[in-house]
Amino acid sequence: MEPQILLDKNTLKIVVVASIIFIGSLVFRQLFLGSTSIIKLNNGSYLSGVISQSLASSTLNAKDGVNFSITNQRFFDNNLYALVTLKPLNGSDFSGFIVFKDFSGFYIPILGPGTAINVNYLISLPKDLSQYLVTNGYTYEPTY
Amino acid sequence: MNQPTNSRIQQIVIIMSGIFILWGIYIIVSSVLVHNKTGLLVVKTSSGNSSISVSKLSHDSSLLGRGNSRNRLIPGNYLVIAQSSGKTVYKVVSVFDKKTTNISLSSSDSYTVPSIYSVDFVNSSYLLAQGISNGQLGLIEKSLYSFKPTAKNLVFYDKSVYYAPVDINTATNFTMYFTLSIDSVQYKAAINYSNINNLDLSLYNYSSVKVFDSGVVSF
Repeated sequence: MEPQILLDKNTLKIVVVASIIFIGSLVFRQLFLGSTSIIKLNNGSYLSGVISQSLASSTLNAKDGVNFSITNQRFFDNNLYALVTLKPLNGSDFSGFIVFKDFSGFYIPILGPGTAINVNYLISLPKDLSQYLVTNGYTYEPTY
Repeated sequence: MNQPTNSRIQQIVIIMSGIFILWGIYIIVSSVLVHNKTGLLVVKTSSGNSSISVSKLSHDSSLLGRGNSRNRLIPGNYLVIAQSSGKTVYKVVSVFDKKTTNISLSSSDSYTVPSIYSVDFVNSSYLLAQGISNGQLGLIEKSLYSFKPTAKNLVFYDKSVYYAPVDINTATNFTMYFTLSIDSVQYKAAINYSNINNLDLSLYNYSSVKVFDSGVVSF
């Protein structure tokens, strides 16, 4: 004969109430928040977020200090444009540079990532930026 | 012997029930706090496999999902970027607490640096058919782009192409004339070249006034 485990009435009531509260809280959470995740962004350097976004693939969210590091960050045309150069870390291939342009207070990647841009784009860039690109050998002539 | 065993089990059940009650209360309270301190960001993209990410200045970024996403963020301004097949589209969004922000990202939410590649050159082949080289065509397009970098559409007119007469045996310079329109404004062009690696392009307006001279350009 197996020993019989008997719960008294009060204990059973407590179990039922606990179950209702717990299951009810899960239902409440689902109804109130839906199946959404909460995103918290960690502090980083000034442009680390958008650089990560520029490098992101469907499977990898590249992180500053993990997959790449910023070796140089320069601003041009009264901070309307920014250029960052990157160094790959931990076996990644995130090297070269990215050019950003300020739209509504956010820098958007407009050229790169890459190691050189076609000279035909220079005419649309501010003089100080295009001169910097040419001087540092960040351009190439297209072949016809 | 069963009495003390049952009593111990009842104690354990009561403690476990208490833990579940507290856990449930914690879930309810934290849900209300999360709801009150965050906003819901719903992102829809036109491409089902776009990789969606979010960032803000001086912060890292985070992947939100693929195709479409629903996430809660603390209030603030964010940059949402969706990438698919090398194309990047973006939007700056404001998230408010207790509110839902819906955004839709499509191909029009992109920025392309204006360049010669943004210009639609129509009927370029007419010039090639008249004997200029691919390299010279590139120089013509580049020169016309430097004349008007904001141009969207450039059309070469077929029957307008002709050469200035020369003695084929002695000539070292050739001049080709043609008509074109740049964003619907008509011009007459003259290209002068001594070999297939260079040219000098001049543009004249409807009054035959010279409005542009590229100088000698080569590749």
